[in-house]
Amino acid sequence: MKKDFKLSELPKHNIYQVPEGYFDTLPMRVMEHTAGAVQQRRSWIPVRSMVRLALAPLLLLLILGSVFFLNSAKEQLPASAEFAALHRTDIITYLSSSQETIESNDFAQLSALEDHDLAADFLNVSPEVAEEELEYHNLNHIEY
Amino acid sequence: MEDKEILEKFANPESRNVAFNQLVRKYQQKVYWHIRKMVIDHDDTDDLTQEVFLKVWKNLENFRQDAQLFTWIYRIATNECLTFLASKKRRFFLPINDVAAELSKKIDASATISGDEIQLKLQKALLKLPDKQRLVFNMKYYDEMKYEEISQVLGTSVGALKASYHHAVKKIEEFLKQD
Repeated sequence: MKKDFKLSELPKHNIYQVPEGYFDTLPMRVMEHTAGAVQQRRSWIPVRSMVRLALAPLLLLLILGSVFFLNSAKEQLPASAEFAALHRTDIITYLSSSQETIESNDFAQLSALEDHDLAADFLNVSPEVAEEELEYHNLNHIEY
Repeated sequence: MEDKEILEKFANPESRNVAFNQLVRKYQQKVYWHIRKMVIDHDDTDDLTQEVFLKVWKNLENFRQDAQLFTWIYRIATNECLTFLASKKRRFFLPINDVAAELSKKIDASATISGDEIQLKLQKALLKLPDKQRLVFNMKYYDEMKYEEISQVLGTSVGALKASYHHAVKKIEEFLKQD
């Protein structure tokens, strides 16, 4: 048969123990932490202000660097690549509406003329005729 | 040293460390035993006790003297205990009873716990209570605090605390009646 149990009849007893001398050393260990907390707060303030000071010039440098990089990347594209990107009808429209007259001398400056097949296709003349034409212009120039 | 004197000295940067040392010496045992009865393990209690006093150090400047220093420190210790126990349950994905079982095993195995059979059984019975009810029981039964003081610590009405303690005692007596 189960007997009734009254908590009030049980003597109060602390069953837990601490290592010897624990409460003698605890204040010292706590004080070590609080000293650390003060140091952390003090060392943080100059670092934070230094970061804030350096932030503006760093941002400026970053922006200038980005602009320079984008521009230089754009300049590095070869003319042939840019030309290839143009639509053929745009080129024809430009040439037909431009006030500039295109002469064979203009083509003479193109290194692409060294490629005989390209000259034949592009200028619609044979390489020999193109060479003669160039020679003629150079001779005329010398006479002057 | 009286609380008022401790607070006055703490407000002065030159005597701050001395005052805080006095505060720790005055309340270390109350804080330690309050936490120990909740988390059982000495090492966990040691960590939490230091954490409590570190928080007291950081926030003592903001302490409003409309409450007793003692109940304010108890409140910090109580919150640390509840946070610790909640994180323990989350970390191990364990339901409440399994954390209680783990703490119960510590009562049997720890080298820093000793007592006769009925005292050990009482502690295991306490672990079956919800954490907040266990807090109420410990503060009333062991620390012999007034309901008004417990009310300041836990932010619960005196009536609710009386009911909680009454139910806790009934549950414990039922548990101890078994076997």
